[in-house]
Amino acid sequence: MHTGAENRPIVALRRPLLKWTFVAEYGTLAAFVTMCLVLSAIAPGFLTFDNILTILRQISVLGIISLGMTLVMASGGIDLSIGEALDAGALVSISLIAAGFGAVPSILGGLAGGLVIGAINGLLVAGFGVMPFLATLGVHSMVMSLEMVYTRGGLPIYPYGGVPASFNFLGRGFIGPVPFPVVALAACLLLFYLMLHRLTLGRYVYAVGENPEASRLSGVNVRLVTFGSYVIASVIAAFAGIILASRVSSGQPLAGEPYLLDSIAAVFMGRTVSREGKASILGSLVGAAFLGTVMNGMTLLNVVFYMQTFIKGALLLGVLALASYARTRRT
Amino acid sequence: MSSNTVRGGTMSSRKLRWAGVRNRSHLAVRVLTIGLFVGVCVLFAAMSPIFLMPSNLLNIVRQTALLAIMSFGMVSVIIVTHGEADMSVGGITGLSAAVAVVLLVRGAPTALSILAAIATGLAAGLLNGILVTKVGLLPFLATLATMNMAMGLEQVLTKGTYVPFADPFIGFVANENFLGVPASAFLLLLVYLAFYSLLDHMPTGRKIYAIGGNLQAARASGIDVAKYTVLTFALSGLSCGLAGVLLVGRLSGLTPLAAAPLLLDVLLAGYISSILSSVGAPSVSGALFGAMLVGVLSNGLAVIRVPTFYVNLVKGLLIIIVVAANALQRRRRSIS
Repeated sequence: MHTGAENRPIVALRRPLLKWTFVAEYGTLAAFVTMCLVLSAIAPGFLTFDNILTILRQISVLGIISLGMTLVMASGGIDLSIGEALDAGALVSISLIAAGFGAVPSILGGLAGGLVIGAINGLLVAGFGVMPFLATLGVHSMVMSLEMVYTRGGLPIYPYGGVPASFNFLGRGFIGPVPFPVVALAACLLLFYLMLHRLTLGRYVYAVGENPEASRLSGVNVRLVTFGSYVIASVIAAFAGIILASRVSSGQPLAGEPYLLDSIAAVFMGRTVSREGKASILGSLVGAAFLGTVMNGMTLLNVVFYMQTFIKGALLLGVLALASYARTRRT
Repeated sequence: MSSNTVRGGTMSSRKLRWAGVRNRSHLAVRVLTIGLFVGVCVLFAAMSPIFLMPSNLLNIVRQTALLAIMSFGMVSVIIVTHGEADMSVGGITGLSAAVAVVLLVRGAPTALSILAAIATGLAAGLLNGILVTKVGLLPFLATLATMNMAMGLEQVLTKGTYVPFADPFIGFVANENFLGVPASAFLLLLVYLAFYSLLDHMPTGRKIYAIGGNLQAARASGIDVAKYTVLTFALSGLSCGLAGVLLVGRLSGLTPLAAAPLLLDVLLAGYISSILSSVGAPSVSGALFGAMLVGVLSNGLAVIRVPTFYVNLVKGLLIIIVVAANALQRRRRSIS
């Protein structure tokens, strides 16, 4: 009797339970959604308007830094001094406020601080051809040391006579019901999205990241693109630092350190969201939201502080490993 | 003239192939590096009478032993990945130390605690290797994640505070003299000889250099790339486990995250080894020299009373100079 079953290819009989293609493309998003659902079920107060606003506010600084990190990583590099660029923005702007300058010159001064760090990184990587992670590691160590000297061993800077309201608005202000940092994140997001995914400039950045030699031969100024990506990343990190300084009305030395690993993690998580596995702006946003939500959830669930680092690391590794494995299994 | 006889003498062909060159580069960078070492020694000796005292020199050896042992593992990873690094060395050393000290406090025998620490290091190194080869993560990323998890576990084990424990045997190896020489120097020599013979004189080392030099060619010539890559990460973890035991001896217990700053020192030692070689290839012997240079710098800066904050400035500057020199060295060679 001919049922047709014999004609079915053998492969179909051994069809895997899980489709790796699906996991490779939507695994991270699915994990994120699942986590949100689980947290809303078990964590008290997770799914409230206030808490969601809190999460958004918490990820705004991380999100903005991750945008810069995305740019650098798309161009084939990495920036380990991004936390110090954040500190430069915070400490320089607060010092200028303390010296009696107004909000605008202080903000510009903070951004200039980031610019200097980015220019040094860019010069080392694009000019001298130093490996990105070593060049920026050296800068990281040097700037951190200078910070300790400047703040006399890590004393926070509190401006006498407080901080002007116009400066305070950056970290504490609201536009409608939305906190200003969240608005800033949205604006930066739009800017970087256009730059990296809609303009020719972004095409150059990815080209340099994929194959610098081929880009050079086809007329892209590789050194300029590399240099520029480090500078922009540091400036945007300094901007995040200014927001942070405004939020706490003071300059906290070494405040940028924890953001380094989180921003790298956000970009790598984001790479698993994109189909080609490239660093992308929206992907990094998902990554930053993922990390922010994990931290928020663990705080709501009263997880011991030291355990939080471990869980975050393990979760990150799990997502990355799964995505990476799924990618190799995909046909 | 045999294929590995080049201007300026003979050199093992494995290093020439790793660097992808036939000619040696100029002597200038190497002379400068060794000159730097001599220069800082003279400077420290001139600025402080303490520096050249026998007790301080022995102290430098003790401080350097820990660093050098970690550097040997690091340099193996730098070789096999052609310039990438193991970012988890500080984390693994701290975790191994935490395992040892927690076991000792609970009353476990010394031998068991030492073995457990080394096994912890080995396991973490294997995890790195598997993440890189089987899962396909970038070495930088995989080791960064391992570092994070190791540091988290270290803090969980020590509950975030100093755990004191003075074990007589571990204390002896880390701090005391044996035949007038620090006992840790003997340990260092043993580990050095093991790594030196493995990487410079055994077929395994030739394969590890071959993978770093040209991955495709190594794979095509039938080398089990995954196996040897896992091996180097495991070796790095193993050396960190050993360093963790020494750390417990040095600190008579463990301050959590005390090993974290060692990452910069170990990276520095590993990459100095690269500029010391005439072709820019990293080596175990170069790492020993690099560790000595970093050890002398750390000690000397403390002896002439430079505030700790500036020490990182000097090391950061040094790592940039070292790697920039290496990059320029290569660029010049590729033009000529």
